[in-house]
Amino acid sequence: MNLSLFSPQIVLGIGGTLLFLFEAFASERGRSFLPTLTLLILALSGVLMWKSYGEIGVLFSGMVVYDRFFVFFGTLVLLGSFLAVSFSRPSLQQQDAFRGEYYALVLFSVLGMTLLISAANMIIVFLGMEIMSLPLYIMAAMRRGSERSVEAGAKYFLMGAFASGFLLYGIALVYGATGTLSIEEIARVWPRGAGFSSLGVAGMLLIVIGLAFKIAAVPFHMWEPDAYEGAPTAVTAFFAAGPKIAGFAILLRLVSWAFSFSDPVILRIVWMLAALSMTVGNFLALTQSSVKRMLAYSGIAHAGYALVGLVVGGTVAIGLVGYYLLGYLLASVGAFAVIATLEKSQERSLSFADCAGKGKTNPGLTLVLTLFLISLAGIPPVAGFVAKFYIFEQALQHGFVWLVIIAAVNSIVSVYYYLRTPVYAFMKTGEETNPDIRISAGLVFTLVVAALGTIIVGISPEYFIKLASSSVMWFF
Amino acid sequence: MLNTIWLIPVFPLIGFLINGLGGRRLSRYGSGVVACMMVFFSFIFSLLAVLFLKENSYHIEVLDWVVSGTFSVSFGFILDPLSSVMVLTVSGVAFLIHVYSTGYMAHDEHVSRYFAYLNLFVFFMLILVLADNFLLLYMGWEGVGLCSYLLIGFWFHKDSAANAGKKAFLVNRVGDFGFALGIFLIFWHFGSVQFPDVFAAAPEVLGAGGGLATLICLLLFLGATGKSAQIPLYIWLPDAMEGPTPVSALIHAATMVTAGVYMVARCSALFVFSPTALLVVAIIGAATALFAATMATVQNDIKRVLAYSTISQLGYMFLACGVAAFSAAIFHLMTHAFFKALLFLGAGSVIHAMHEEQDLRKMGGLRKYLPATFLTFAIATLAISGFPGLAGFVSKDEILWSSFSSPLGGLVFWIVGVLTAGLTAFYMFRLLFLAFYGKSRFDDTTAAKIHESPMSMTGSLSILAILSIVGGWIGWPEALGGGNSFGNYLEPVFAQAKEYLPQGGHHAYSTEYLLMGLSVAIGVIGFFWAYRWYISESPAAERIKERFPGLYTLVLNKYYIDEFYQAVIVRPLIGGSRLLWHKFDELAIDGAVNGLGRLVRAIGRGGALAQTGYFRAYAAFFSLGAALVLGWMIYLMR
Amino acid sequence: MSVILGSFLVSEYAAVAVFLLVGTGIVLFTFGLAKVIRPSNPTPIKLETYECGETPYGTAEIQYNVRFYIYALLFVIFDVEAIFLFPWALVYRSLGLFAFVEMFIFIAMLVFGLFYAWKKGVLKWV
Repeated sequence: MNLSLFSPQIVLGIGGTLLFLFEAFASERGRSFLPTLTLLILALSGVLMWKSYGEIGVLFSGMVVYDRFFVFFGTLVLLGSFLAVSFSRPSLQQQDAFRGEYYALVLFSVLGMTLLISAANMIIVFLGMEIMSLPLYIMAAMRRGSERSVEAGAKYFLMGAFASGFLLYGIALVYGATGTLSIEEIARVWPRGAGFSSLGVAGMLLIVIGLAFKIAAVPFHMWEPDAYEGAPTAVTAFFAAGPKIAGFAILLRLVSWAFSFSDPVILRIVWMLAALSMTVGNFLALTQSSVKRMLAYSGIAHAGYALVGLVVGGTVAIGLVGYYLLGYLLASVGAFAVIATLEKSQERSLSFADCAGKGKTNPGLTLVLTLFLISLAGIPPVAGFVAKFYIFEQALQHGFVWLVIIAAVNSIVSVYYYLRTPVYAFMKTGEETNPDIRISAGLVFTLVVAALGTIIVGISPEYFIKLASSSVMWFF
Repeated sequence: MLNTIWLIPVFPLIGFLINGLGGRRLSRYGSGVVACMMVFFSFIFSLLAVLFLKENSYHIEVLDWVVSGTFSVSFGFILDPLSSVMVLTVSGVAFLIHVYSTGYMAHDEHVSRYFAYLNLFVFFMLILVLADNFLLLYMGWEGVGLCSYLLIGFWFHKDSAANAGKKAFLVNRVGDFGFALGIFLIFWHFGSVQFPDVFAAAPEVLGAGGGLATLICLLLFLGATGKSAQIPLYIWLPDAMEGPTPVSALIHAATMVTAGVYMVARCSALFVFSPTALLVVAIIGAATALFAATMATVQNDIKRVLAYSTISQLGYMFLACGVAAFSAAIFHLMTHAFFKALLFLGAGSVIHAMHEEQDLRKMGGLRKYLPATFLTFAIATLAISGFPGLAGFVSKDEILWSSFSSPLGGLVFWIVGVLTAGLTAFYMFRLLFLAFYGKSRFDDTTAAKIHESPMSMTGSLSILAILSIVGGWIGWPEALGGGNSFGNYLEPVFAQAKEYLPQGGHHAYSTEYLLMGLSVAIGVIGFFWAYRWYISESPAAERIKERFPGLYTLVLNKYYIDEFYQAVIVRPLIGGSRLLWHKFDELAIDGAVNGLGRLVRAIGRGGALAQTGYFRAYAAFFSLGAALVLGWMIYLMR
Repeated sequence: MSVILGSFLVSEYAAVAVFLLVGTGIVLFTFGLAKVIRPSNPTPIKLETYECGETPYGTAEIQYNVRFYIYALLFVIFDVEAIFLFPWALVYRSLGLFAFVEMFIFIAMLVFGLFYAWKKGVLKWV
């Protein structure tokens, strides 16, 4: 067994543990180094992840696998976390939520995500899911002085536990149907074509439900707006970047590898989930007055768009889901970073009206925010547009006309609320200026990387799409 | 070296970004230096690229953007002799005008905005001339239109400037509409918008005859008449003189307005398949040349004279295109860029010295006050009037000769061209005499304040003056012992077009000498006429005015064309729009759209009701969802 | 036995149903049996809540200090550690050095946790 293939996870685990200790013993000054240390550990993990790119290794008696899929999605998760951590300190401090544990929790959560992405056994799927989720619940409640934050944490925890139950039950039923927990074994004995046992399909659907919770697909999305809004905004950025991607990754791995893709049942149900998520997410986003909550609903809608790729299936479409998530990650982390900076009060989140006149007082921030929103809305030439365009095109080619129509209508509806912020920022005059907007180096880094990424991924998509589709190639 | 040609347009873009985003932090001086430097880099890179260009055409794909089915858009650039000439002319003249602007705009409050627009213009113009496909060309086309609009209305606090900007924009829309339709047609029939593909397939698709070639070419030409201010869409150009004078020089004389000529020349491989379209081009060009020249003879605003002169000269270029003398058109385009930019910059120098006075009737005798300006202006006047040996003589003569000798040309075109040449000499010398000769028609306080322009301005003037003299020598005609190396240089670009043209008979050099002599003679007549009316017997002009008052008023008021458009097109359009707005838009469209919006929001609000915030509700919803999923599964699997 | 019941019995769900019935039955049976055979003579003292021999103070339905939870958490963690240690000790000989290192890592992590809790003042009762 080549343990070095597992080194990304090991680094994260040891790093998290050490940060916990460091946090406990360090002085106030020492604590200010925590973000930097976290970034270093994340970067190190990323380097180790890419060191053996191209190899395929099965570790711990078939529990964990190292493959291109792991590297691609692991990199997405690490990148998202890196960007979310980079600007976190001033933002958390401003919301009175700067606690050293946050950084150790981030590392543990990312450890869970990487485990989840590399899982080759249902036990690891569950374990990774829990290691990822438990720190998230704590993070959501990080603003201990705020009722909303604590409420968000509690709700997230309860709903998460509820969903974990579904996932676990699904794993149990699949075990009952196939007699194995190894994903590879399941893939081997899973019937293709006809002859599904109802026990196995029910188990598969329960697993899909458990994962649909993590990616916040309708109707399992209720927790997301509350958790996103209640959590400190820097944490929300992390929520958008990490768990959603990891949830999607394992969903892709399970559905396209373990469970036969030709199964008409799961196809129709995922079709429905996609259509519902797009529609409900967009329509609810329309009525929001808080920018943060609007983005939370937009996250639901984007889960729907990405699910379209899953419905289509095949190397190209599944690869495009990875590409789509890359675009979503860059734009949403960037957008949350800007919102975290523009927010002024601790209790009330940023509303559209608060953005009025920001185009004058903070032109740079508003401009990049506009770029991110344009990408989320899917307006050319940035990443969001290209990703949407290709996914819809694939869906059309495979005959999912209605799904594309629903998606297109939704895209049009979404432009309204995405462009509301820029409209308020540039065209209305604000009543006051907000003098204490602090632009830290970390924030600049996040915004520059996210903005450049959004543009580059958009104007030269070839490389990224190739990378993404080569990561899922071997499932088929 | 050649694979860096994508940098040529990138430099001005960087300049635009620096001045546009950080302009407030730069000093006035800094803005100008950045802008000039960026354009200079462009020029250097263009020069190097052109020198390194060995093959007939160099094609580089910069970006592969969207590939979907049969439709693919890539950003690519083509460098061939034609775009070489354009790139050099654009970046070179633009650089000189940028330098000039640092002096001219030194006292303006919004220097950085000015240079940002100017750089953006250069960026789009370079994209336009380097584009390897119709879409990219169109992007540059629209981009220069936008910059033209922004710069005409640069002093937007003046109503006339803001209105002129709007007028230019709207008139250009009409042309662009045709252009866009033309591009759609091309894509429809050729399945591509890439120049190499389209031109290669042209004989096959258009050669069969029928109306398609004519339709496409006329639509493209409609676009050209808008951008290049030809009949019937020329009316925006004189008003565009509301912008700063260097802008008039760069955009409305030397570069942007020639985009139409460039486009027609670029599409020569399409135009040759439609003799009808070529005939229309030639007629419109000749008519515009003559028509605009007559209007130029009576204008009193120094810049308006030059504006009509520009329209007239552009007419020449289209005349050359129409008789399939594309290289002659491009040649004149280049020399015209030199001397017309010089004329405008000289006029700007005069206006600058006179403190924003543009009325010729309030000038006179400026020779003493502005010696450098006078000298360069006089050279430009000689050049445009076709004084033998200067740039204008060589290029104009080639056009006149082609319009006579080309199998598509004819004596009528030549006569119109020569008449125009005479008128040109007349109105240009009239301008020169009124401004620089005679008695000063301003008071002493004004006279005391007149000063020669700074080095940055006179320096640019001198360089352009030199170019106006020697610029034509590279295309010295064979009849006068030259090699017409310019025409040979452009040969490969128009080679394909040549194949499908009827071959004309050979004309003797003696005919050419005769025609040349005649045109020079007519220019001299124009000169003497102007001399007699405005110098030796200065009241003569007044007498003519009194003798033919109707004709004078008609020409002075530009044949009432603006009023005609106002009555026939603008007013009915506004009335109709108003009707549509009140009756149709407000009731039907707004009602439907707002209703839809309200419906959507109502649905959203209904959905939000489910989001109660209670955990139990969430759990119940979750369970319900799961139950539905499983129930559906059981239904599907029964 | 009817045909329906017969086909039910051979189906895969029969085992579940039987398991369910038997499980419930055993619980009911033992409780019922105890009820029948035990003498019933309740006094107020006998009905009191048992608290390790102390006399109970007040009712049991009160808010506890939140610190109890943290104590309880720490207790559970080390309890679980002990549970893991037993099977590990049994197979230790056959697994060798690898098992030793693994368990060492496991205990080290818990110790780190203890350190953390300690440093954060969890062990101090204020």
